[in-house]
Amino acid sequence: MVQCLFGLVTAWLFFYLLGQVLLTLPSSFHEGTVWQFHWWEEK
Amino acid sequence: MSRKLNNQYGRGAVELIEEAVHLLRTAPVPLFVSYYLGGLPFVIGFLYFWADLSRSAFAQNRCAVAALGLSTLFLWMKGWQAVFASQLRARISLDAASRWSLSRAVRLAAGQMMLQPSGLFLLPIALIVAMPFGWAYAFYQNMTALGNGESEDFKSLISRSWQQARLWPAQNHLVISILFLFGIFVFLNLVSAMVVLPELFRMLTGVETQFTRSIGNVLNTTFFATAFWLAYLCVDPIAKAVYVLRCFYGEALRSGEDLKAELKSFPTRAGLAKKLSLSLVVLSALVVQAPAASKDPGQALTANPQPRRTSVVAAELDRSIEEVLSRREFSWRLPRETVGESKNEKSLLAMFVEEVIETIKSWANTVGRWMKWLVDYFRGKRGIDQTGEAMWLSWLMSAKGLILVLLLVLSIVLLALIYRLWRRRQPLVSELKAEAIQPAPDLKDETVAADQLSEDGWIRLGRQLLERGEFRIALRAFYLASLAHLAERELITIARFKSNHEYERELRRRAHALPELTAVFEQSVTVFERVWYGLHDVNAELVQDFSAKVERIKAC
Repeated sequence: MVQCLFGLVTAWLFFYLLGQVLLTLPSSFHEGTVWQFHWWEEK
Repeated sequence: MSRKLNNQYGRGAVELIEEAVHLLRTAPVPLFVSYYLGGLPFVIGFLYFWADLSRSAFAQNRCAVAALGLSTLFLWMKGWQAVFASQLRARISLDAASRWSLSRAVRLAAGQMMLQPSGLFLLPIALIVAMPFGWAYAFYQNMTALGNGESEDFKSLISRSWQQARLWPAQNHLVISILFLFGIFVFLNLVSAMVVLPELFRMLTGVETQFTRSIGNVLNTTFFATAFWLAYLCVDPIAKAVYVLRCFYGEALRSGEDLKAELKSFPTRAGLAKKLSLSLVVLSALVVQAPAASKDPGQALTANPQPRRTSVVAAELDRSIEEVLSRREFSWRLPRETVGESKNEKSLLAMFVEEVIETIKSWANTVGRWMKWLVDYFRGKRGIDQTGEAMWLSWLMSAKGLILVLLLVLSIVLLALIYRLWRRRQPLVSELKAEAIQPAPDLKDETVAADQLSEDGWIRLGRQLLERGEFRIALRAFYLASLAHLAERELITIARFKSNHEYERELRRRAHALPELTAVFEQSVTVFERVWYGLHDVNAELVQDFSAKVERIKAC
């Protein structure tokens, strides 16, 4: 039982950390605007 | 020798993958249901988790709860994957799938719950270090393949999984590489499909979506996460089947399970005897019935032993047989030489004429038979249920006949439509272009521009206003006429934002070869500004003088 709970906590920890990483990433990365290069604005 | 090599190095990676694909192709639908029952909720939950945490402003507050829900779904998926793997194993070893009980299901779930979550951390670490990834990946796949809940000893499950993970490393790494490459292609296919399908949907239905508005909308992490997990759902069952096979063959080195499965695939002696006796019974039944069938062929083919009255005449039967044999699907079996020889005896023209006559004869015969049948039918001599001439009616009611009738009706309708269109045809009339009648601009309005009327229109309007005694706006009309004239000659460009002095400068620049024109225009601007913006008195003479200036401008 304890081992099963440990497994659940391990999975929870992984997904929680993944969630924190997702929260840390800027919106421009999630929305893809960070990859868009506006050449006319660079001139 | 081949078995010895297999035992030493394992089967070839491609061979193993082929066997896995074959295993999946022959698997029944409930087996896949068990896989996707676990996989789909997790994938949907993961995508929701991803989208929520990457977009929502309040996601921070619910991150912990969402992670708990997702981890539950993850364990749910792993449990069902183990069920899927155990069913596959049962199919390979030709064992009847062992019964599921509550205790077995609990053991299976507990085993997966304990062991699989560590893979979430260890597999990425192993991937970063690169070298141990193959063994680590195989270890966790083996735990799914072997963790069927039949054993209570989880330590033995770990040791068996590790033992199988270490077996045939070359085969394992090759399998991982092939599946990885395959996965990349599946991913790219899915990405292209997800990009193209909305565009096709828009082309067909005209419905705009975010993806069709801009290709840039595709470049977001949720889109790629969706494609990734869809690719996972496609490729992972193959990976599971491969590792089930690997474990089966690996363990068979000691247990000989593969030989047992091969032996099971042979029919047993008892089964063989049963089949043989069944065949003999069927054969004997046929032998007994054969003489009876030879006496009355019609009776042999029917379950009802009662004799049936047949009305098929011998000549009719011959004609039908000839007709059937002359069809294309049977005529190809006839020896060409025989037909060729008999035809070659006559000249080409004679053959042609003969064929035409024969065809017309056969048509006439058919029509005659139909007519005869109709006459007999209306006299009450024949019924619909009778065979013979009624065959044409049954043919007419068959699919081919119905299609022909429909085609006939369709062509009649089309011809009728074409005829009606031809009757209603009208000579081409050139379309009259409708032109809106422009209202006279309100000259008291400051926003009125010279391009609202033509030069003649302004002059006409100015004269009307002059006659009515509205000198101030009449003068403006003449001024606008001069501007319209200059614009027509492309010496100035009309624009609402331009001042009169800007028109002057523009004219000086463009018409420097016409000094008189610029001079007269400057004079008219001065007069206009005095009257329009200043308090200069205006009368009929001044307006007429101004209109004369406009005429001079036109003359220059």
